[in-house]
Amino acid sequence: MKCEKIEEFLSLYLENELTTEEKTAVKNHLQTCPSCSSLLSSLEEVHDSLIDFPELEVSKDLRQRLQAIPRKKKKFNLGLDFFLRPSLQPVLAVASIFFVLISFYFFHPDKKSIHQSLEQQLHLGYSKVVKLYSKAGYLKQDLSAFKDNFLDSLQQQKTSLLGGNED
Amino acid sequence: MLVNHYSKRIFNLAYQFSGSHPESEDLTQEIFLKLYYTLQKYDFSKDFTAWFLTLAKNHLIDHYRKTKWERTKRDDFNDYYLASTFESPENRVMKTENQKIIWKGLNHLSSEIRMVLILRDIQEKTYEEIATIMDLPLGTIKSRVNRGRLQLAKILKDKKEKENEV
Repeated sequence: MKCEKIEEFLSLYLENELTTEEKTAVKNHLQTCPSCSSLLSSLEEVHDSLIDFPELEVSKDLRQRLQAIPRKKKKFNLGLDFFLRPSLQPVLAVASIFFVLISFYFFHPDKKSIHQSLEQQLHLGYSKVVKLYSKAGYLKQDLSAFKDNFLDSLQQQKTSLLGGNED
Repeated sequence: MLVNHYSKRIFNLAYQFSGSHPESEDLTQEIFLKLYYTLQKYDFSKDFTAWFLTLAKNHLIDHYRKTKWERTKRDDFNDYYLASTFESPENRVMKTENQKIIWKGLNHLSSEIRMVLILRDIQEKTYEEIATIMDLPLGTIKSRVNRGRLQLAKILKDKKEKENEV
């Protein structure tokens, strides 16, 4: 095996995690290659040094800061949790559109013309509604007249049929 | 309870990864803040420690990527931390020297390799645990650990050769 290939196995060789065959191959190579065996001893030193890295203690100040997090979060979310519920999102979306339109109306430099056109549109809408209402009235009258005629014709047909049978 | 149980582990992970004491305190605080905001997403069928370490790992690597151009130095390795009583003074001095070189050398590793190596060799996690935390295949983890150790071994070897020349 070449040195590059052996390098891939060195860590696992150190941790005794190779198969018997791989282990033998690495061992044989190391006996004949001073460069790889020197690398292995450096690797051992790295491994030993890292394992012995000390653990630091958490300072009192940091511990206090960490313990204060849940309380801070609670305070921060006190008013927001309710409004941030997913079920309220459509309502909030409609409300924000409404506020945008209202602010557009109030802060537009040409507020008067907007007001006039709004009034115009309102009047037009109102007159359309009145016309529709009167049309509906006429339609109602027509329908009741049609109903009366229809009932009369039915009555006439009934009497003529009854008279024919008596004859 | 979470603070008592995990603060030391997370703080040490942040310190070993970033190499800066004040920064690792801030990072620990940010990680715990993130934990409280995402706790509701935790799936109770999964191992909590692994889940929390994944969250910490993601935060540390993200932070590193955002600020990597600003960081070139790690804190000095403090000899005080190395009060190992089981070794002879001679060995202790040699080990301290090695640890100083390796501590600085960690900055030369990519964020992913550094994280994997810290989890394996300093935090002493198994390869399987690291694969879960990193969400990567076992083979990738083993190869990254090997690459990280080799990089550090070469740094150590070069440094010693230079010192011998002098």
